Amino acid sequence: MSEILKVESLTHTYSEGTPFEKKAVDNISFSVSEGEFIGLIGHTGSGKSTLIQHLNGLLKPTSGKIFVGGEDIHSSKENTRAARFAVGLVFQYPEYQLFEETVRADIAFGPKNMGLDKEEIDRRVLEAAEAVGLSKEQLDKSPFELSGGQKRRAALAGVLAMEPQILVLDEPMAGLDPEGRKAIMGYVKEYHKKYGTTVIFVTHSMEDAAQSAQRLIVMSGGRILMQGSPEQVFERAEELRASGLDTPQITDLFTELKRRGLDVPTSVYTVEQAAEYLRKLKGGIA
Amino acid sequence: MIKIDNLHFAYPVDDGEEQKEAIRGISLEIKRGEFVALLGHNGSGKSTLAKLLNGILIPVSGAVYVDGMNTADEDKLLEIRKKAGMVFQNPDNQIVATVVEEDVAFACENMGLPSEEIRRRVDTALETVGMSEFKLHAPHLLSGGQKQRVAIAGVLAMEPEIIILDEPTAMLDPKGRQEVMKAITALNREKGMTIVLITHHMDEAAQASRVVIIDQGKAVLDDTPEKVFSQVEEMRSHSLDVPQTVELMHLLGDGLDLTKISVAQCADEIEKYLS
Repeated sequence: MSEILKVESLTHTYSEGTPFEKKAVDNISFSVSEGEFIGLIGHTGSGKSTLIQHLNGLLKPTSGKIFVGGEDIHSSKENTRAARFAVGLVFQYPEYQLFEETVRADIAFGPKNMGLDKEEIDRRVLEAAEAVGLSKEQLDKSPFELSGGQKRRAALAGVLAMEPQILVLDEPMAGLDPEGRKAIMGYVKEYHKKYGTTVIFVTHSMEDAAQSAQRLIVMSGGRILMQGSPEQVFERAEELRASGLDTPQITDLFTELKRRGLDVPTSVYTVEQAAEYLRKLKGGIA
Repeated sequence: MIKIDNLHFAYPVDDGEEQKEAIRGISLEIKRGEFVALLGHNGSGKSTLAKLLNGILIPVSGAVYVDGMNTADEDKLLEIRKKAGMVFQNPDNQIVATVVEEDVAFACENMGLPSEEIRRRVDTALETVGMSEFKLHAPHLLSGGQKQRVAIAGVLAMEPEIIILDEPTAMLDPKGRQEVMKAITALNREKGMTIVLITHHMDEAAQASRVVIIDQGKAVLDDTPEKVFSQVEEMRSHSLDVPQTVELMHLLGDGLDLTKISVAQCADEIEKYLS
């Protein structure tokens, strides 16, 4: 698969030259292939939000470069503008940014700014609303009549309607209950499957990340602590805990079983994997 | 300490709209020194119930008594709020001052306490939540978990007998959540404070001594965390998850004891299963 995003030796220092100087992102390099689903994990203050604000040019690197589709996004004004459309950023608590009179108008705001014609805008609004499970009736309501979970989905639809090549979601499930979390996760996964859009999913929940992502990038102290498949990352559960991340309870259980001398892998992170493994072990097959 | 008697509540609606009851006949008694978790999904009525406990909302019918005082009795409202302090979800909305210790002192100042008394209370409250070293810091530069502990200290400084926390960790990361949960459990175990914790995190509810499941405005389960979480199907019917340990043992079946919810206990059960 072709490379769609490349981050090269990126460093970002806040308030440089003042007593509050802080290096939030420290010499990070990685690349993302087209169609990948990446989980970007780290505790608060690990630099992940600072990092993603660079991906569509909202923040300028103190040093280093960002390439989207092979183009350095800061090499020209045109490239910076193109990056804004190519990389769709859904912020934390995006429902606070709803402002239009109807849900329809709110979702249409991004495509309108892209200078699309009315027909294309209408098509995109309907498609985006459908992708997040909002009905036609809900499109004509005020965003403020929607429930919390629906508002969140309306805000997400506003970014989807811009049809970005890379969708970046910053803690899209924060503050939602298990039902609301599952719904958002389900819609994002479905969208990824249907449109093949590259997704970067930012979270501090290892469990959420492991459920959806093909590759995990773990950040700590502004650097990349580790990256790899969920299995490879969970294998290093101790290090994850030490960097302030929560490991799934099931991983903790398998770590404990191993400590007690049982021959089990600590890379297990879902209940289904665990049950299957234990059944085999009991049957003497593992 | 708190007595809820056949409580009903509905939010006011515009003319013509149908009124929907948020609380539909809850009766509960919370004893002094208990640590009760109210667990339910969004829209279950748990936050409404929390606001009814210290008279932010007044029942449509039925009653809430805090230490024998009816929350519908306006003359008693101030005293009820001094007895039952409340901490909300978003720490940023609860911080009013520009220095941590001034923020913690805010309620005491409003209570008209002498300044030496305020000094003593603020110092004790900050120490209790482990934030003494930050007392001269600016609150907006603290982490979410630290801010929420400052908010808790502000309530503690009023020296309430009950603390009601409405999803205090919903906006925090794992580290912040741990800090706040540690502070809450310590308040209960070391200071004997009565705690009512509203949450949708089952791992937090598991730390309480009693869990009440709220669904569609009713209290549907009320027992120890072990007994509540072992009812996997029942919990799912209320759109709630159970701990992964319980889910695993439920999947494996084979007579495993679903009340063994901690990792260590579950590991014991797994060893039995394999032997």
